[in-house]
Amino acid sequence: MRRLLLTRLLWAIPVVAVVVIVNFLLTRLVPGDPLVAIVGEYPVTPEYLAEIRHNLQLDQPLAIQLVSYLWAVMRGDLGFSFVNQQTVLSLVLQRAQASLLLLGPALLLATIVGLLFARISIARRGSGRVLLSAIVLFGFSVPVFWLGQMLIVLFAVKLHWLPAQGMASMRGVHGALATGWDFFLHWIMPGFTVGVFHVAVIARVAQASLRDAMSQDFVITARAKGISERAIFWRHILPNALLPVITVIGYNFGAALTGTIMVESVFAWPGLGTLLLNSITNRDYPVVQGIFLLSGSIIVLVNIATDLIYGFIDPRIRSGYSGGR
Amino acid sequence: MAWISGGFVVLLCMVAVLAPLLLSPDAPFQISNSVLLAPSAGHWFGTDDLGRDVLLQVIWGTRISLIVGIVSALAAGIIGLVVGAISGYCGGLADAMIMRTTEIFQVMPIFVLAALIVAMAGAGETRIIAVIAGLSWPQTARVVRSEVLRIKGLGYAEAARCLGISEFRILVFEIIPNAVGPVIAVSTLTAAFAILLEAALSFFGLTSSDTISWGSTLSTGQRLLYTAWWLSVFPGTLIFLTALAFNMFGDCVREALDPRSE
Amino acid sequence: MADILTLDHLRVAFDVQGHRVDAVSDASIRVPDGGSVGLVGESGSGKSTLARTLMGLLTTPPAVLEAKSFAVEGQSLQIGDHAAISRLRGNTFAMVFQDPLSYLNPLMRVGRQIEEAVRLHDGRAAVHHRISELLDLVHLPQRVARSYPHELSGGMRQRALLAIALACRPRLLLADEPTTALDVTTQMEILALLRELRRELGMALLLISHDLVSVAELCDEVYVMYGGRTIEHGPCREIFRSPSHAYTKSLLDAARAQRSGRKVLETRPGALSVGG
Repeated sequence: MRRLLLTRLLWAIPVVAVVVIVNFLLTRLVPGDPLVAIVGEYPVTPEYLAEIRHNLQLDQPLAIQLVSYLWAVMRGDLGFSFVNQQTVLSLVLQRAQASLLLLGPALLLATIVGLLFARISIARRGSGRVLLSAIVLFGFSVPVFWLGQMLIVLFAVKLHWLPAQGMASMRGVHGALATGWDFFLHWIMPGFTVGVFHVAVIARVAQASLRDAMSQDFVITARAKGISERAIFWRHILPNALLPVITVIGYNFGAALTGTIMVESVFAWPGLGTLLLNSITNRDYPVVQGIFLLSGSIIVLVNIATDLIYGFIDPRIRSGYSGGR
Repeated sequence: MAWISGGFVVLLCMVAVLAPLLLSPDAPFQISNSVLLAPSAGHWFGTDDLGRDVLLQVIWGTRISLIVGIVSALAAGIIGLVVGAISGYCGGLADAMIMRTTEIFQVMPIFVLAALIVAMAGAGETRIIAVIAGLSWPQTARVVRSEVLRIKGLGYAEAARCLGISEFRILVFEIIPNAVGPVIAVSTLTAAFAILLEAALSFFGLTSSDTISWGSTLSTGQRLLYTAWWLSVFPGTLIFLTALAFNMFGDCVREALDPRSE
Repeated sequence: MADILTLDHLRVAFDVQGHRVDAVSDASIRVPDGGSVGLVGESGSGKSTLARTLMGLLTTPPAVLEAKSFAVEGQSLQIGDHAAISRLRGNTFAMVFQDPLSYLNPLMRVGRQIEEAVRLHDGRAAVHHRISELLDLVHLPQRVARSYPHELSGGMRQRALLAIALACRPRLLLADEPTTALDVTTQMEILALLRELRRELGMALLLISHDLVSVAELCDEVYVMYGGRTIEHGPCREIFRSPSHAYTKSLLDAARAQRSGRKVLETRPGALSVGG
């Protein structure tokens, strides 16, 4: 297990490094003074500009600039957002919480729903296959921001059933239960919109992996023991079928986070997506860079986490066994 | 399925080609006093906040979406073909490096990176195409690589080598033609992805103000969701249907190539 | 002695893309209570299909089952009646298989897999005691209960499968090529174990094998299967001394030749019958 963790950490380093270097190179891509890219298009004092120029050693060769940039990032110094009057790091960390609050439950529910669809599609041979490919095609083709808009038009504008904007009511509610309910009402539409893509991803993989697990020989042993079909499914088929599903969750987490970012901007959910939209509009470049760095890091962490969960479930991975099947 | 989806794409292409010939280039930009009209006989898809006809905008936007989708899929396909072929054929260090690179791409938040690049470097059709192509080739490269490895293991590459045909000629004339099928399948999926990505970028306001695309109309619609639903419904439906058509077509190609599917 | 299993004129066919292919065309078999019966034949002769039919492990469709009569412990059963057979599984019947690794769940400790079977028959309190008893029975060290299948050797895996099969104290053990995937020394160990278990537990054994030597060592009676039919049966000694069927003769010749180190290539036509 320790070796697995170590190899995954080693894998993470180049990924994060690429993100940081891309960020650095992009500041040079902006037409005109790189300082604009570093500070953002906001009227600041010349003293501050001079300080930044000195700190990041902008009068030095590119290689030295890169080193001092890396050093700044490693210290957690991602710059200052004048639009938000806050350091970029604290700003993006704060907004990331809201994003994960939207994405986490959506991902969990989508995984369960995807597995259900996969099970149904196997149980009903012909019509099940059609249902599954319809779900997959829909999930991969629908622009999530548009789907969000359509939900708002239907359930908020026309029917007045659900709140369309933000994470909580403006007027405020009292009590833990009421707050939770209020959050849930705000979560339903964006959560559903985020989940659609993921249901498609999970359903497709789970269908194949469930079918594969069902045809394994150990299922015959279990049946020969005389235990019930229900127990065979929950204890033998499902755990084995979950392995590829877990891999795919980690693999597609980048896409899921991206989806969240798009959906947030439609529902004004106060997370990374809304921040990204506003920062692009305000040309607040350091924040955009910070969002890229943070989302890249989150994705890497989630990938490591899913690998560890995989190792936790599968003893063969844990012990580095590579023979057999 | 293949006929319906293929037919839809052909229809869109015809719209995209014919629109500039039949409409004056200013027509979709024509501002008028009839602001935010709901769909009616005069304006089938309604009008926007500047009194511009949404139907004309949608027709005009077809061009951008299709060009971005098809050109970036083509470019990504070519890059992926070359890189994947090198990776699969040469093996060794080059292969390892290329595969690591594609792995990194696969975990990147592609949309955020694209938004970052376009926001910092500036918008524009060619730039957006370049960014999308530059970010979506790894998928193709992986497919090509595995195809090359598969074909390399078959007898006829070996046979050609025994005849004294040069490695380069084997790669170009024997192996790559056999990898074309899967590349087409992946490329149609890339086209769907590119169309969605372009729409998302325009939705985030990352277009120059003189272009109209489906995504930019949706972006206007976002501001006016409570008053003018037609600004969102029509362009969004078209984005969805177009991406759907490309995805369906890609699935059909893949199924036709897969000997296991009946 | 009463028969624990009687099966007359079994036919098993599969529907493959509109064609009906017979895997077993006409097989009859009888296993006396506490007796040991061998079922020999080359691969493709229908031995394994027969065993799976008995265990109710074939899915219908695509399989189509017919039998003139089928009785377990004197009770008559419908051959396709999976519900009735599944009640017998684990109680009256148990089965061990050819490739022990793939027949064990890779994600579950061996102890848990044995426990699953034990739970169906013994009370909660007795479970741990019973598991260690079973491990002793198949000569596995107690620590194996905490191991995963991939951590065991081939022979140990087969012993673990045996422990699972024995958990419910079956009256009849079906062993489908239990030694084929193992190396020679381990084969001998497993055969010795099977003999010992039979003696200690008094259970009947149906050994399915293409290896005449192991059948000769373990079984009192033998059935010979060829092309989906049981073509010959009788006491082991008799059959091996004076086979009446030409196929049995060539099977024996091949086995002897193999023993004496001579390579024999002799095949007989018509191993698989395809028809309506």
